Amino acid sequence: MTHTVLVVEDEPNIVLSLQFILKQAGFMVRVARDGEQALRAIDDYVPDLVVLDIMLPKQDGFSVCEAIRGNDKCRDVKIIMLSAKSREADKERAMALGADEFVTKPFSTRILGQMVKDIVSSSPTIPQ
Amino acid sequence: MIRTGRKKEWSILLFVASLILFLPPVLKIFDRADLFFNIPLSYMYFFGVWALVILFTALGARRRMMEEDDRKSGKADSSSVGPRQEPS
Amino acid sequence: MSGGLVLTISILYLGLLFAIAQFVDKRADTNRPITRNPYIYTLSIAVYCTSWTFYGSVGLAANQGLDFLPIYLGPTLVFVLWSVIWVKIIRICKVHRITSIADFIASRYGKRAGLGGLVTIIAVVGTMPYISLQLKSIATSFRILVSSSETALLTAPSDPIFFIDTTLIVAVALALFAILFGTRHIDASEHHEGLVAAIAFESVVKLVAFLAVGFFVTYGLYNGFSDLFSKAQQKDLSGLFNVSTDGDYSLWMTMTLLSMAAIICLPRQFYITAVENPDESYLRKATWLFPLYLLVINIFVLPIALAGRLLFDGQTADADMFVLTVPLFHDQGILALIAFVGGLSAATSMVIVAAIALSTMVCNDLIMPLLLRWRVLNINKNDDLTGLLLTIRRVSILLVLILGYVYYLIASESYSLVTIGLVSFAAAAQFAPAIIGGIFWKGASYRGALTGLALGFAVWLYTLLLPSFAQSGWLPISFIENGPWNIALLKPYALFGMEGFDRLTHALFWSMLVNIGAYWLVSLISQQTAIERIQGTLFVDVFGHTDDEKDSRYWRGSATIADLQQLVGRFVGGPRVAEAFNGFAASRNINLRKSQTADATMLDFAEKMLAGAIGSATARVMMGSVVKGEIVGLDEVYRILDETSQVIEYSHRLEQKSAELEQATAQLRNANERLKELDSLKDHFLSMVSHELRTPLTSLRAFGEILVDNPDVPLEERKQFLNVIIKESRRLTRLIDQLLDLARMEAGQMDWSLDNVDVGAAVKEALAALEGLMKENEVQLDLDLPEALPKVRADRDQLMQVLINLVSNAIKFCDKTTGKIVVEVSTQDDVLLVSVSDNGRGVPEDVMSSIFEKFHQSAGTSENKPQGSGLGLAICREIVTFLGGEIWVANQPTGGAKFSFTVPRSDYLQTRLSAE
Repeated sequence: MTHTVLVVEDEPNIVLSLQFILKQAGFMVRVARDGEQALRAIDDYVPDLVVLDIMLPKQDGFSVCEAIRGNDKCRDVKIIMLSAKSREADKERAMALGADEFVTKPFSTRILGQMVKDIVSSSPTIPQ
Repeated sequence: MIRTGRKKEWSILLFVASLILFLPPVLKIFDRADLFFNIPLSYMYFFGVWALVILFTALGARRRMMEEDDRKSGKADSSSVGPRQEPS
Repeated sequence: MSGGLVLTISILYLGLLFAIAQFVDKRADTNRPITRNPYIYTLSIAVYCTSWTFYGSVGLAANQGLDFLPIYLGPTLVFVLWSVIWVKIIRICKVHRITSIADFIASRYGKRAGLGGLVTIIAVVGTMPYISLQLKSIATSFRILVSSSETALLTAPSDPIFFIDTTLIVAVALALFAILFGTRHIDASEHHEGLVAAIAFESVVKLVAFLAVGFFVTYGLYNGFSDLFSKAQQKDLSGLFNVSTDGDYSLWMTMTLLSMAAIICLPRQFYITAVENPDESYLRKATWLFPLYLLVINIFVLPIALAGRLLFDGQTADADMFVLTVPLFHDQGILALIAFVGGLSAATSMVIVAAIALSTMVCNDLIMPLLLRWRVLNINKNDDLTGLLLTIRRVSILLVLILGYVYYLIASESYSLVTIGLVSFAAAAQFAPAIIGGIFWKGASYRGALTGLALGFAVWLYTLLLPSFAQSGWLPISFIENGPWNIALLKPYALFGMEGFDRLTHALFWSMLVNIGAYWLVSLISQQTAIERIQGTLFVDVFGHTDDEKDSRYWRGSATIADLQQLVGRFVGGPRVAEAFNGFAASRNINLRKSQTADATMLDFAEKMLAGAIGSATARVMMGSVVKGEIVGLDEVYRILDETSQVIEYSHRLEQKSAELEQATAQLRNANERLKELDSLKDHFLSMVSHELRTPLTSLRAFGEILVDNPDVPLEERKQFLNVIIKESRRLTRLIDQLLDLARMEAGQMDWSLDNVDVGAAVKEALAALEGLMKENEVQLDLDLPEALPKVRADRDQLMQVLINLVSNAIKFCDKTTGKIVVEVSTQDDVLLVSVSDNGRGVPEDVMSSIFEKFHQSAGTSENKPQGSGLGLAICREIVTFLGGEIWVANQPTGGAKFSFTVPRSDYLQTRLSAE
């Protein structure tokens, strides 16, 4: 069965690269350009994994993360947070808000691809 | 006993009293040539009051002196002040 | 009685005095003198009793009864107030090493020579009658004693002895004696143990002599007081039993006041009581012993006077000489001789002390300042001046006595002793306001004292001294009777029509009125100098300050110990100064090195030592010649001195300090906040830079890896990925360029090449560069560019960058479907106005103010994240500001944002520069 990944990122070229990696790894990829879009997308369809950028228009990654964790439907959704600011404080905050992984840009596509696979396979399959 | 802090007041009181006694109008009462025991009244008056004033001044000065002496044991001699060398 | 015998006795007596003085001085050199005790001190104050007391009181009592008494009651009253007045004056004299009354007054009012000189002149002129009184009494008593005729008892013979006027001989003899006696030491403030002992001895002699005559008269000739008084009453002399008066006691009160002033202000009394006081505590004894001495010496005045009147009943005998003539009449030769010696002692003691006091004043306060002023004294030379000082003093003693003799010749013959003496008292009384005011009123000023003294002295001259010349025939008598130039209002005995008072009361009233009045008034309206205020405070608050050694230091200059020692040595004598300095150093536990710079205490010590020799005013000038640097910080010193102002100052400063502290705290708080702000700004900036750099880097790395890891990517996709890489690296380059530009601009390290730029051309060029972008976004451009625009002063490339940034922003934010951009250029006064507007959504109000900040991201203005680094507008602002223009943004009513900026016109800029 195919797992779904929601990519939340405002930088089109980065979205393009993520789409390529995730599709290659066998995921269904959905894309949101800002925080609001992301929340609407999750409302619409609960993904297995969210790749969430922190610097987003309208609503930043932290609040989106908080919203996902506050939503009962999304108990098992995995979250990988992306940040272009390599600040320890941001990482700590992300982990405290319930992110599973924290990746600093620029990231390695190889490591990120492997990380996504590991996280998704460790989680119980969501009954459809 | 007169307290040390009042030595000036004592002096001034005595001074004012003496002024009153030595100047008119009080003076006029006693300034008479009449003889008492063959001594002129004014002569007796002046020398008598004068002697009393001296007596009271002496009393004031003595009392203070005694008090000062008592205190002197604790305090250095303050009577000679300022840089002054002995005659060489 | 033979003249030889009397002469021998007189010379022996004077020799004895000299011996006593020498003996005591010798002993004083080796150890603490036995003569230093309150009794000797008290007896020395009794120098107050002169021939006036000895002979004159009897003379006065024989004519006017108890009128002689106020002269002794006044001093008694002043000594009752010892703890208020004397203690203070004595303390001041000690602390400031005062040498005389002139020194005291000059020192109090700012150590200025003028005042000291005036006081000296008044003192010398005022003492003149007093000295003549002594001369007259000695000469008369001598003549009476040596002539054995009966008539001599009634009218003293005026035969000259040795063919010269007896009085002149007496004057010269006394002068020589006073010179020998009084100028053995230089330091006038030092205690003259010998002198004091001799004066005390004289006081004993005159008291004993007078009492001897008194006893003889009262108990030898009569059976005690009651017998004498009742006999006198029988002879109708009871008018002498009380105060002779017509019912008003104005003369009585005047004399009381005068004598009160005199006991303080007579130069010799001031000198012996204050300057020569060896120990303040002696005053406690003297305060009642001295009045007692006065009382005792006066007990027999009235009896002797009555006896004289009874004896020479009806005959015109010289009552002033009863003390001598009554014993002589009864053939008591020995007693008469004793009386003569008593009179001699009374006169000589006065003459000696007065001569010493006056000569010190003449030397220190009159001659020395003049010598200094006329630059006769080369103060920088190193001569020993002790000899000069001594000579000046000796000459002045001689002068004082000669003056006394001259006054005697001119005026004394026709007056009684007491009348002559009171003229002197009235002169001395002129000092009273300046002295009493000076020790109780800080506000009294130099000008006030000078004016008061001068006016008081002038009135004294006019109402007392000049008339006495007139009465003796040296001035036309009409001067008294009709006034000068027949102006009745100016009659010296009835000034401004004030008649009906005795001359003394009249003179005292007017002189004191102008003296006190001027002193008061001028003090109030004149400004005190710093040193006057300091001295005023030091004098008035003498007890508050003397406990603290450091208070009276004014000097803050540089002089070496050697300089000081040399200076003081010239006036006091080298070895003595060295000794004194060493003593001073030892007392303070310091080592003196000659080359060492003297500290304030040392300077103060030296000045006071110098003041002891030559007076405070002169000492000040002398010190000033050695101490380099002004007497700086007088006001500062004053502030420290004045306790009240000190407290006020202190609390004021405290207030100020706390306010300052508050201010500092606030500033610190602000600075801290600003720092925090800056910190967060920097933090923000760094994280933004990081973000902006990492974003393109992420794409670069991601697609790089994808392309490497996936060689089988279709060509189409590969091309797309490679294009992304190129675009992102361009973006990265641009970002780095912008960052560097901005950093350089902010650091002021940008290389600007300013020139006269044609804005129209620049605009066209910028638009041409963006033509591709506009086409790509289907944006319509509307250019409003007038012909013949003035040139602007700018860097062409940077101006282009501003235009490109603004236009590309406009392209980015204009309406996506029907994008339209308007670029306008117009002339406004001295600037060109360029504006770029779009038809987008406009700038939200909340970011309006921060839109030109670095990394202000206009997030949320559109669905898509705007392309750009967030540095463009910040750079625009930097450039425009540097070029001297302004940049701003406004939303148009029709929608869309309008960015405008100005650039100064080069022609206006030039005129402005040339105008400056």
